[in-house]
Amino acid sequence: MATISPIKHVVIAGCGFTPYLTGHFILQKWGGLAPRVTIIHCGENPDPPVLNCVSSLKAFHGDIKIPERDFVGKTTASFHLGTTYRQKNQHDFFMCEAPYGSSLNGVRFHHWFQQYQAAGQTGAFDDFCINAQLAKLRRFVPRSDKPNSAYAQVHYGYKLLSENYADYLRSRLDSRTTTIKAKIENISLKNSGYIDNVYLSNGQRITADLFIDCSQEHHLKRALNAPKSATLNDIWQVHETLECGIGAPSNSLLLANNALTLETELHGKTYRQIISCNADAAPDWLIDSQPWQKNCIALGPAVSCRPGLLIDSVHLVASALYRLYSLWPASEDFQIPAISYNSATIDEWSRIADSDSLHTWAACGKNENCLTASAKHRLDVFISDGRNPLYENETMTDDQWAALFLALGIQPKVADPLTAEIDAAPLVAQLEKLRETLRAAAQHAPELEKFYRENVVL
Amino acid sequence: MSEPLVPRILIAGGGTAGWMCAAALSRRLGRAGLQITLIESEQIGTVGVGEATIPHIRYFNERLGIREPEFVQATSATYKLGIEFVNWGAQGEAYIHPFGVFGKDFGEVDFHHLWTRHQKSHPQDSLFDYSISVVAAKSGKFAYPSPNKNDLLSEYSYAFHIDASRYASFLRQHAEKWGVQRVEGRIVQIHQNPDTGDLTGLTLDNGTTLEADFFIDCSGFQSLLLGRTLGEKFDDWSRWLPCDRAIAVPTASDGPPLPYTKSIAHQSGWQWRIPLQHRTGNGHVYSSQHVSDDEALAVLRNNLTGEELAEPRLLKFTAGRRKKSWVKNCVAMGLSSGFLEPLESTSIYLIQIAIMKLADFFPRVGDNRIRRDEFNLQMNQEYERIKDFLILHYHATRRDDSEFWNFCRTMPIPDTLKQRMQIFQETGYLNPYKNGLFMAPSWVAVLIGQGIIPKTWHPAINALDSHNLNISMQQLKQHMKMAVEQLPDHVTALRQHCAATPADVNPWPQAAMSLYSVFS
Repeated sequence: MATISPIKHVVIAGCGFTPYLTGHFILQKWGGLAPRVTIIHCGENPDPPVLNCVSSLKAFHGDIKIPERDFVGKTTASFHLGTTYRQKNQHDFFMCEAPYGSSLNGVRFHHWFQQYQAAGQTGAFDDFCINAQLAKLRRFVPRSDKPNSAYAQVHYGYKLLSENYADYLRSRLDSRTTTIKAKIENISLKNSGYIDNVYLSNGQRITADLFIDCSQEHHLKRALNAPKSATLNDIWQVHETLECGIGAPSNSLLLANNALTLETELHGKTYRQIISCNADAAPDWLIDSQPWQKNCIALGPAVSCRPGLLIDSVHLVASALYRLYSLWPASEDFQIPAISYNSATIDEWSRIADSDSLHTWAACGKNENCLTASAKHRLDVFISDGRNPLYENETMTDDQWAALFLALGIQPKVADPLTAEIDAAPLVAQLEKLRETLRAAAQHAPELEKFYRENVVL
Repeated sequence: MSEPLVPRILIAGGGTAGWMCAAALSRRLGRAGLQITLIESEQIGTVGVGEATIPHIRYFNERLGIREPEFVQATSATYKLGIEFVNWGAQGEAYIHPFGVFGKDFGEVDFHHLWTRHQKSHPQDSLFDYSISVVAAKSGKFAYPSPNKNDLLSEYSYAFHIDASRYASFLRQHAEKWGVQRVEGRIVQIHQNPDTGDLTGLTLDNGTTLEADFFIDCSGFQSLLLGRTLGEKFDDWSRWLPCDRAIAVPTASDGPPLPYTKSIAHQSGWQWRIPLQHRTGNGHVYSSQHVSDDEALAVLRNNLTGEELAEPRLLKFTAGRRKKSWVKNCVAMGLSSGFLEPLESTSIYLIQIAIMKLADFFPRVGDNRIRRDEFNLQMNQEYERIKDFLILHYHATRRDDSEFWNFCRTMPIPDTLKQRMQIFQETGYLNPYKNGLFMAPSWVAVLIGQGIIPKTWHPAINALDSHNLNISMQQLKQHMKMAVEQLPDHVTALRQHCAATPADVNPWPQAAMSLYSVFS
């Protein structure tokens, strides 16, 4: 019977924000029981210049004792309410995490919206979302604790420079962490196949119990014959914008011409990421099929070369770290927790790949070759009945999937039959009232620049 | 709308499944223009499955607008806080699988890790003393859970023991009021379209032929439409669930009704005891490979606690299900789609979930392949996950006193269950899932209740000092005990709720649908 964790020393290898976030998480979550942490700063920086983080980061930071004001101030992060999707021959659609309307009689809002449209109404789906209303006016307000407030539904994340984030996290590490800047020259294994020692270019030899590989090049996992992740050829362009200031509290995504073009405005610059899509095949993310092997775990860029479009890399690292925490070995046999860890991780990435393949599909003229099998399944079921199939380890909620389909211009053929319970006239009146309430609430919110100036700047 | 709903629905068979379906569809889809006809014959008895329920039934009734006190009165219901399993892990052992959580979690670490560590130094300590449901059940107490989330008394849920035949009659009254047409008669002929194989109509023994666009098979074990007519294959699960017979007999109540179901393992099966207001439902589920019908009846009679009120009834079944529940223009519900023994009171739930999924993917005029396939996929997942949970009860045993238990203990089990048991035993971790009935606390109850104690606990628990941990555990136990002491006894609660005038009583008391994900 083990009563004490067998992990006394953790080695984390890689570059960018992931190693520092991992180190910080381990130290904070384990508190007085935390193992010693050594970060080997090595390899290429795999991070994109700018991070567009979903709202889960706020709670994650809270859990690892990163105060929001400090984080936003020191990284010069801005607030992120969602992304405007732009497609040819279609109205713009604001895609975000906040709810669109609300369920009624156990029926999801998008079904009621279909009935509202069928009644000849022209309001857009995203008119029923507080995030969209705020973003269109370039306004921002944090989430309210009052359940009846329109602002109670605000979901915001952050956009920030990845370099600033890495620097910030590094600055928060305490004396329990050693950081070494060196190349990993060699790795020796135990008879069990577990990693024993890491030999560095500075002559140091490091022994540890658990090794976490955060490098795109698999600096640690290569010792276990893991395939090296591929690198992507996304094009990044950075422009000075004429407009001064923080930039809009949202991004824009153009889906056209076999490419996805994501634009992020931040502090006077526009960061444009152009992801070219192959119209003839589902995107291959080259996910490491066994992220936890022996005593070595791949995280972030070591798992896959690119995070999802809607789900950022910080969220994926955080999610993996919680999973690792739940399965933290209590004995020297790492194989049993690794099975559960790997299965859930691959599942999670596969669900995100579904979302990305749908984006690719839209950008490539709706060519079905671009879809993963499960994305095709989702598409079929949504078109047929406006439903979402049941998958485990979903990052996106059912309502977010529905919003994504609508954002991509996909309408279900039919609405939930239970919508027959309410006649068109009272339904339209109820929805119009909601739309007006949200619009009024957005108009009362401060402009982002003002909010930032008054609440964030330290 | 481009694809209208199929307008004419014919439900073949009454009973619990038939009337639940008729009531739900007429209440929720009546305005969409459905014409619903239900055929049943007074000459054919119903099995009356599912006298014990799980908390989801409250959601079903609520959606139909049925007030809870009215339901309790009409079905002679008693409240249910869980199921007591006696002699399952080993003879002489007992535990209650509660409708509620255990203890208080330690951050993100589930309470059972704390208990596992505590138990190593206090081997007599029981996990089940840290469940409000269990403490209340054992004290014969009941009250609606507190709506205040900070209150210990908010951490449980409840279901009912009901007279299933009365429930069917009760729903029939509502369904007929909501527009369902009931036709008396026996089905003697089933008509199919020669080209497509779709069902087109049913002829009754009085010569009437009823036509419809969509058929719902609630014909019970016969599976008249899905099995016999459409030939859907049966997936036999008896290699894991070997019980294939049940003898049921009602007895007079022998005391105040317990607020929980009893499931007592015997040499070659198990016995249920379900206390209603006016009687007790009893039955012995057994494997005919291991015991004769006469011996099984004798075992049941030796273990009855009240006077028999009717002749014992023998039921024969095979555990398993039709590979697909929806084939062509026919969907089967309840026993006609499959049978899982009532060990965890899942029969009515499986009818309910099939109705809800049918409403989600309701057939339309035109091509229904995608919705049919999705319905079948989702129902398959429901059955598969319940199947694993039921197998666990048989397999996680140390009993070696009969051939039956030796078989169950040593039989090969599905890989999904094997992996789940292994990781729990080694680490205390339970692979979570979102889609399926039984959530982590239910798995913990049965695993630990039947003697599978994790070898280790989450290392974060080591941050706690043993002495302080011991004090916290004692305090928690004491708080639970004191909280339960304030509750009224079960009979008083029943009397109050049933006697109350509508203005006095909350028609839909607030309580979580408990540990189940479906309605969260």
